[in-house]
Amino acid sequence: MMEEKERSFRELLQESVVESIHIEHPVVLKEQYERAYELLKDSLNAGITPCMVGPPGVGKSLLVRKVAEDTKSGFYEVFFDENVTPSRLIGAFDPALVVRIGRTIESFDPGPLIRAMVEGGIFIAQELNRATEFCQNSLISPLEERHYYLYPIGMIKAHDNFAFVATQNPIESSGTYRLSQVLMDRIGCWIRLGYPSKETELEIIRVNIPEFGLSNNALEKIYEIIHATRENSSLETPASPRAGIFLARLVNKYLNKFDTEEAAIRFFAPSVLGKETRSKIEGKHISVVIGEILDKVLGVANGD
Amino acid sequence: MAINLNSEFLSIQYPLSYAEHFIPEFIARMRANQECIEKPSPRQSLNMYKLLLSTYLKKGYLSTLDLVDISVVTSRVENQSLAERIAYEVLIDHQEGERMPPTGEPTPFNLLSPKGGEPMKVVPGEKEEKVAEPQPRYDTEADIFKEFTTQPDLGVGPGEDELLKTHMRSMKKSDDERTRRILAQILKDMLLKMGRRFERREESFFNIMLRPFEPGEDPEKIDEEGSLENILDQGRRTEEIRYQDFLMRKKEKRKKTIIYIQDISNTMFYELDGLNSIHYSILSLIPLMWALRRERYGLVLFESNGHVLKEISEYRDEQQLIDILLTLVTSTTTELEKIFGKTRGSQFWGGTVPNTSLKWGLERLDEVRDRSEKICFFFSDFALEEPGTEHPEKLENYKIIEEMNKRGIYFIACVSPLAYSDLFTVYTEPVLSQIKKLGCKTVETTKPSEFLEKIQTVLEIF
Repeated sequence: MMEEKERSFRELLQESVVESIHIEHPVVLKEQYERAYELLKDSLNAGITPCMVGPPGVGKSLLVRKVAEDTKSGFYEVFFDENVTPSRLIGAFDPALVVRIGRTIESFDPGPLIRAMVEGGIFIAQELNRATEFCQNSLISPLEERHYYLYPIGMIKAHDNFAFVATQNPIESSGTYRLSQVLMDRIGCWIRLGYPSKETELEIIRVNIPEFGLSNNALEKIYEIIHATRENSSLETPASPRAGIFLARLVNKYLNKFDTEEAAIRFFAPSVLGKETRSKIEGKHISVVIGEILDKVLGVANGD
Repeated sequence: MAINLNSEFLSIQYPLSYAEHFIPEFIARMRANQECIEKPSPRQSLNMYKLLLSTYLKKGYLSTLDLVDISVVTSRVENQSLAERIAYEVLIDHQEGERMPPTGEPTPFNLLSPKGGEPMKVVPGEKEEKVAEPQPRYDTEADIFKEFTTQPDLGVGPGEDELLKTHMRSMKKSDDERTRRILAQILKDMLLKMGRRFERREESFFNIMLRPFEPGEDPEKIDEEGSLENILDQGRRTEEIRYQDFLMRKKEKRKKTIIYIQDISNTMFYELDGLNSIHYSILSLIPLMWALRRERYGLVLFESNGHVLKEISEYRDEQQLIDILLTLVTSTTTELEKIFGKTRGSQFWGGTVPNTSLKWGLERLDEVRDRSEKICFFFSDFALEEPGTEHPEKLENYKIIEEMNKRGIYFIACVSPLAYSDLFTVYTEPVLSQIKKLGCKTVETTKPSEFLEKIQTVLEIF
């Protein structure tokens, strides 16, 4: 039984292997996104390493993915944190094979950075400012000289289409560190993304919901709630456009279980926003702040 | 007539030629500006030119807005608003005396339209007199020195301990409230900086364990001896060896639960050479607390009474706690009595009665049921008993410390140097010797930087 299940899994796994993942929804390229998209492409064309800087959920990775898709480039990504070592990026020799055949190309298991360099694709270093200094240093020669010395195989020269893109959250975000000066100097273009304008954000929400069936009023209310978290001084981390998409998706999907759209928004908003946002006022729980925002936007709930 | 520099239609005649002059001028002004954090390198000039060229090839023209945009995006995030301002300044400087374009139509921005293609002249010094502050010469070398002179580093070095002490003395001497507040803020910055340095060395707090190799890991961390032993134990032949048979050294950080106990009794305020035991303790406690702020911790001050400033489970802003601790060095015992007297005023102020705080520490650490390392830092002058007397509280102190040892709690006595002065030894010697007999570590708070190094060694031993 177990063997059969395992075999079935292997078959499914084989079927699931695809060359690349395509972006499911249209990407809204307006205002700051249009400018950032153009800058990204210009930087890559000019051989300059760009870094996208902005709060979580504003679409930094999506833009890079869009550029990769539009330029038909391979896409390799690594999310950095303190546990990511240079070997995870570069790759490592399989010690068992090294015992048998030595340190050769065959015994080398390449990491995503070397793959991107050899095959020629866009390597995206997500949250680069969470990387350790050790890891940051290993990126310097691929970035600047476009090569990497892999002992004892030799010098690996990057493919002409290899490009490196970094993303990072603002330095004020928790768990982030400043990049080393050496690495910062090699990043030639700093593209900032903030929260989009109302029209753009509404469009982003709309295009990201399959079978969109919400009224304009509901969509406006969702936006107002999301926007209110950004204006609220009690919140350390406000809600991102991603939170707006999640909330709208839930309301859109389960609308038939509620009497009104507002009731659905009131039901789902605390769960969606509570996860993303954080209160900075001691003793004031996040649910209280969200409750206040909901009362302000939707009116005080019946029975309160 | 005013020109809108943001207009996309304000294209530049001979754009690349102009860029060749705009870029060095912009970079030079950025470097010369004191607000500029991390001066731009020559790489930025190259990147600016590459991006402008790319934009020009794509659009077929360059506008002033492109110059501003590219100046901004090639500058680091923290410099971007300054870069925007300087880019506009550079553009405006060159605009003066030029022909104004007719309104309503896309006209060339003929800032620099050389006749006959002769090379342009850039005279960066022209506008220097407009700047209020004296500007350095536009060369990199001068900037480097400027950086050192305009941004003095408070620094952490061999002389820092003395600097901290001198600073503390100056702060005490100052009668002016505002000056004292400024000095206290500088002192705080210095102590937090020490804390951060200590925090970065936390690597050595990791415990080394062995676990199987996984693809993508750093082979340099393979424990050769352990791996060989493992392979031999399994009786594998060369062709049967799998990568999982290799063992990696894994550094695992164990969380800590910490109780800080700070003595604020009367004897702690006795001064010798301008400094008292409170000063010594606080200079060591603040960087330690800051370095270990990500760990779970509780904080209590004691004299005759215990004053809990933070329960282990409670959230308190570290900065606020540090500000409270700093008030200990700027206040007298009478002022402290006013501040803390209201919390638990069952006994008179000032005696050295650590029992309740020690007991509180033991109970709180004992309640923690995970695998974290439990540590109790006790900052005091250790003038805890009068020679020849046999108070029951005295014996209870030792019993609690002994109980801590039994329950795996590390007790670290952080001793003020005044405890070793002639005046105090008669009180402190028997206490410290008893504490040592109980197997506890004692670390002096004489020099904050040395204190932190010793604490690190002690934690490594644990």
